[in-house]
Amino acid sequence: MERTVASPAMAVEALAIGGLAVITVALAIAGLALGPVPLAPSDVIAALLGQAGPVEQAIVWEIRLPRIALGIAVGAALAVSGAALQGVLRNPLADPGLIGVTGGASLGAVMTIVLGGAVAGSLPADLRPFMLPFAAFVGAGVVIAFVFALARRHGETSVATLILAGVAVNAIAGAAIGAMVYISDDQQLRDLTFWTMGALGGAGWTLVIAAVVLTLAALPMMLARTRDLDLFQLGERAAFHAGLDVERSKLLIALATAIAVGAVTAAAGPIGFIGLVAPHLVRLALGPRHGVLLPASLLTGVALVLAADLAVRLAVPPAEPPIGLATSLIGGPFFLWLLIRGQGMRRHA
Amino acid sequence: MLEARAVTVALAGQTVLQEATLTLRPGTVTALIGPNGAGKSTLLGCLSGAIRPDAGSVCIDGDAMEGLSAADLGRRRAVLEQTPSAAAPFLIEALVELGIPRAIPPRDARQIVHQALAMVGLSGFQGRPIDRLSGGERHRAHMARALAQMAAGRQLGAGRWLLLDEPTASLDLSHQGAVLRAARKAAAEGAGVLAVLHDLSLASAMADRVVLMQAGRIVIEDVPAAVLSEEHLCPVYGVDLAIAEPRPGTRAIVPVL
Repeated sequence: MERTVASPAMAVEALAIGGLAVITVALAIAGLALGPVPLAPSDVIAALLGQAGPVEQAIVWEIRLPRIALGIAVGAALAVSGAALQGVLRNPLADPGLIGVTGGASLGAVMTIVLGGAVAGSLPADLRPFMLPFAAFVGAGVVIAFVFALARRHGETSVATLILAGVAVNAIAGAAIGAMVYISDDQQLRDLTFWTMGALGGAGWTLVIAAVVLTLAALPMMLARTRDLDLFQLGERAAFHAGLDVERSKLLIALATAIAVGAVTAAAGPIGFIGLVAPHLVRLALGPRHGVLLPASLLTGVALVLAADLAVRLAVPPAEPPIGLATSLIGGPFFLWLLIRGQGMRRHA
Repeated sequence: MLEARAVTVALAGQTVLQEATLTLRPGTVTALIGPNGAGKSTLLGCLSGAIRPDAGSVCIDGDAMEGLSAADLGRRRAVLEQTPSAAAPFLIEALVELGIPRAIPPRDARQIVHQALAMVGLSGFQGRPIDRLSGGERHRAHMARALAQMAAGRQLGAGRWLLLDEPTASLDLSHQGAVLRAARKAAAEGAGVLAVLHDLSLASAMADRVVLMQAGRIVIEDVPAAVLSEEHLCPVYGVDLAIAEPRPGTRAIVPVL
């Protein structure tokens, strides 16, 4: 058979994914080694194995490892959720932050921080760490259900409709969060202020573990549906004709994205643009097939978050600007560039 | 058999299909004709399972349509939509492969893609992105996707029905020929083919049976020579028609201006 294109393309894809994996691992190691107190890679490994001095041990286990683990969960969850939402909605600008999913998750989390104290007392201790991610999941889920319903009513959402809906949802969530801030006490206010800027360093191990576990549960649900996402590109009617149970697939993808975005938003706060930038970079390099797009976006998202985290930690030590500022600083101009370039508007017949 | 029995569909309170009864047979090409808004695409939608009728029933291979999963239906029938599209710039081979379920091994899938592209005259196009093709080439690429789905279905012991909604609308004469030959070939291999057509001359050239619809009802179903007459067509389309017989059994039909 004359498959002149396929084999080199597959080699390029494998190479790119391999390269991304190496970069990601290198960034993770750098994230453990670098900071206000630089450690040699050998110290990092010794500390991970429990054979380093108490100071190194504490720096790696209590400070850097949880934030690297959370960074990996945040990058993976947001990038893969972004790619999956863009696939279902046939719309390359469907970033969880832009369309309001992160806003919904934030509102759920903020309400829990301010009002949840009463409920927390009545929950078993084992479930308490999951209260924040659960509230964020509910918030994210409500917004995704709204966006999917909007897309169903109009057959296909235009970029403008989607972004405007996102503006409205974000405004509503922002107002409600503002109301929560207004009624919160001083300590809650301090927590909220840093949380709403997005930070990897603020969450304790329990929240980090909850975020990692939930992300690990949600990712396979999306990675198993790459053929569905390819079929969604034909439109829902044609996807059904090709043999896809459209409603079931949409429900599972909505559920998975709500879990993933909710879990990492609960632990790290709203971190913008990863779900937009990572899939776009991958599409530019490797094309639109979701079988490649999702895993490559996962690695790209993790690399972006870890790099942004390193950047904020090394910028003005020992101060640490929130990572959400860094991702928005990169992602905002990228988004503008996409709009000006018209990439997001282009429709392929 | 793929049959619709007394199927009625109302959209937004308006009846668009009224007690339509139609049986498609294996090995037969049926053309569905009628003016815009006659209910042709709605009837096709009922037969494909995409539209659930408000009354009446649809049976495919003896099974009630509602009881079948999307995946099962995907093996039994393939559909070319009226305005097929892809929101992502897939390569042609990736687009055509979308019709093939994962149950087919990759080697066989490649073979099926290759043959489907050859049938619509797109051999050698497999590595091109779909957004770089002309409108007609894109339409044929989607036709190849439907043909690939049929071939995959046959390999899985089904693949008996091919439903085409205006498969020739955006094509020049030679490619109309290629697409209709592909449909005839599918019928020769045992598939039942239904094609919504606006070009009545093409309908006479390719179809074994012609179904004429008007205002949600089936007016007549018969062999082409019987349906494609002034007596039946003029009242339905509301225009005067000149009908010639260039070859025995076929009709050339043009409106009289």
